[in-house]
Amino acid sequence: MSVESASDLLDIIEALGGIDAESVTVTHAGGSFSAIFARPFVEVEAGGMGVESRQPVLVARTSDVSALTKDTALTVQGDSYKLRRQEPDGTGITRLILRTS
Amino acid sequence: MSHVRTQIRDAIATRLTGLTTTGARVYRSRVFSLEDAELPSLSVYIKREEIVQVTLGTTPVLTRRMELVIEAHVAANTDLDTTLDTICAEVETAMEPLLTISGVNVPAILRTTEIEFLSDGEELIGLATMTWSIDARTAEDAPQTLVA
Repeated sequence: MSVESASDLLDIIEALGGIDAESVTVTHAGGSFSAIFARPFVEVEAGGMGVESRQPVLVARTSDVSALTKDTALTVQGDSYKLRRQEPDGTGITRLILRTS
Repeated sequence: MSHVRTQIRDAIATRLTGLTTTGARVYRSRVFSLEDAELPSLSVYIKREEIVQVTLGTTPVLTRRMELVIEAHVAANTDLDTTLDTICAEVETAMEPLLTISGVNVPAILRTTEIEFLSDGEELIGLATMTWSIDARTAEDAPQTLVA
């Protein structure tokens, strides 16, 4: 069960940030929402080699993003992404896994 | 002089260098991961070798059947399979003339090609793994020297 209100969650999202993640405004064709954005390093195993990449991720209120569908175009800090999948945690927060478009 | 495996791997890497799509991005038995700027690329390995002694005597001759792997890596969100097919066509064309090292023919036959798509990063990664069978012969006591 979630202990924070929707307003609390928004406050948290807008206040968080730092070295590895930033508070951002995400825009899409249907509007915008606040989120935490991170783009950590990942190494993808591909045959005998690893390939270096990044994994762009947004953390947002589920209520702000639940209507978004796979491949929705999103703009974050001027860069274009597409929504690959949603990972709601059941407490009102959802991780959005992105890919570049 | 280096082992015949090294000579063969180097000769093939040289032959694959300068292809239209992968250019100079040809890596031999590389350990470190590939960065964005290093794609699309080719990696060349000899992963396995099956050895049969074909003559008896004071200097036995060994037939070495090597499993050479050429991996093509591409990162893109569109036309990945077409790009991989293009790279495979360039590699197959480059590999077609009979390889000759120190005057000895070294036949190479394409056995399998496997295509994979990996979606863990911000771009899709495409991998084509081409496995070639290569036959070479050496004297048992001279693995650096190819024999006909």
